[in-house]
Amino acid sequence: MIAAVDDQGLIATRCAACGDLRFPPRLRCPSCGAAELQCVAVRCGTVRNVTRGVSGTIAEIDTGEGLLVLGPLSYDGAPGQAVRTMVEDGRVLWSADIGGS
Amino acid sequence: MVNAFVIGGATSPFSRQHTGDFDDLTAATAWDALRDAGLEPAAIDLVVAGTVHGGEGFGQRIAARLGIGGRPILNLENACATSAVAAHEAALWIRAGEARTALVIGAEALSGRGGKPVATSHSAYDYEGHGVSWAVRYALHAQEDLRLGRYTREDLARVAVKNRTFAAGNPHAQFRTPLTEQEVLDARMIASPLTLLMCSAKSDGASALVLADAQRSVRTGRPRVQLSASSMRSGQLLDGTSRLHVPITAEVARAVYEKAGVGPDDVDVVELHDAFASAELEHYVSLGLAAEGGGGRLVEAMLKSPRTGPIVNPGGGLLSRGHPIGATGAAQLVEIYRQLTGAAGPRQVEDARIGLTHTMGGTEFELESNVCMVHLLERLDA
Repeated sequence: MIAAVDDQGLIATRCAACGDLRFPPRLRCPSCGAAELQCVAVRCGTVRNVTRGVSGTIAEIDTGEGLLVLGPLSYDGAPGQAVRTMVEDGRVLWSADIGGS
Repeated sequence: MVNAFVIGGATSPFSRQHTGDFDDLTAATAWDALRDAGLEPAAIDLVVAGTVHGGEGFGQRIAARLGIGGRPILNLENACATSAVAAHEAALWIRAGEARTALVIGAEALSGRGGKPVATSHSAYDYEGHGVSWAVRYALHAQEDLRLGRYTREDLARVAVKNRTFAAGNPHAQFRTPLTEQEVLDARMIASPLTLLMCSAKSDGASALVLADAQRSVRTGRPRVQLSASSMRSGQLLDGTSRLHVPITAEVARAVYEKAGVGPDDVDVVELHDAFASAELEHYVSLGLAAEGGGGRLVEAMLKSPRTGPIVNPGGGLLSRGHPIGATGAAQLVEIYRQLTGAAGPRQVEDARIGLTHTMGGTEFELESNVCMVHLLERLDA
């Protein structure tokens, strides 16, 4: 099994044969069954929807290239905002992306 | 083709803390359903039993309490749609001529499983340590629908008010105290826009249903209720990029309407899967009961004329009847059976002739689309 989280963010897998992108990482491509998959770092995205409540602030984040993930925001975000992963105690949070790399 | 008929049913009271033995509660409910059908346990050819967390050999455990062995007993798990699918399975056996009568059982005890919102199973949207609750998933969908103007927060509140109003007429519903729109809006925020009173509860309860072939359906002395069409499938495998353009409910409902030769306008009474208030509004559209954006008006009409069809969730829905997941599908079918036989008491919908149940479950695919099960039932006039 491939870890879904590294020290900076999330890890997805992309199929070398058909290009299918998946999160969390897979050992076989769900589209074509190929075993050769490349790890892809997922670091940035755009907030699509946000909810707040007993679980804190959770967003649906469009990471581009065809991947939607759910995750906690470190701030009071709103749809359309750019966000970036940060890892605290092995836990991935999404914070406001204020430019940079 | 041999048709399948509902000939009896029962539910236990749905509650927060069931103190007795889970199997005894379920067996008592099965006895009630058999009495309602006028059958002894020995007259049952097939038992199909559903529970999600109730452990192995569930059907056999209940059959032993009914004093019956020596016949096929199936155990079935399909998330929140478990016993709706169990009824489908039993009907297939009857239609195939493999059983003349079948007992369908569904039960769950959830209240002892902690106070936190129920977490969803691992799926493409979750990742290690970051699985989210059902409430969060529904809330994220609802946020988009609110932004697109499909409904308002007040519409969500009125769904909860309506289902609570209807539950007051159902003695087995868990929540029967009337609510105001403001109380719903002011309740504790679970996941915005969903307040506590817009979320279904972790309940304990059991339901049972008796199905039979045509010959045995005439012996009850009640109007005959045919299970005219059923369809079940799971959602499409998504690439994780976007939502389905056509919700699975719309596809399954279309298949059922086509099989039964009826349309949404013909349906008098519906029990649908309102796990959260937002889901009820979404499913109106998928089931063809309202146009996009028309859910709020339909709720108003039902509150104004609660005896005139189409009525949705006359038994209180998941929101107010309670949601002991394995028991929910059969409880929906029991409600529709009572409605179509004129036995629904103070919540009776006038001259209900065609009824529909809709049950969802699981998250391996899109939201709640591991399973979508829709049944269409018709009262046959003599």
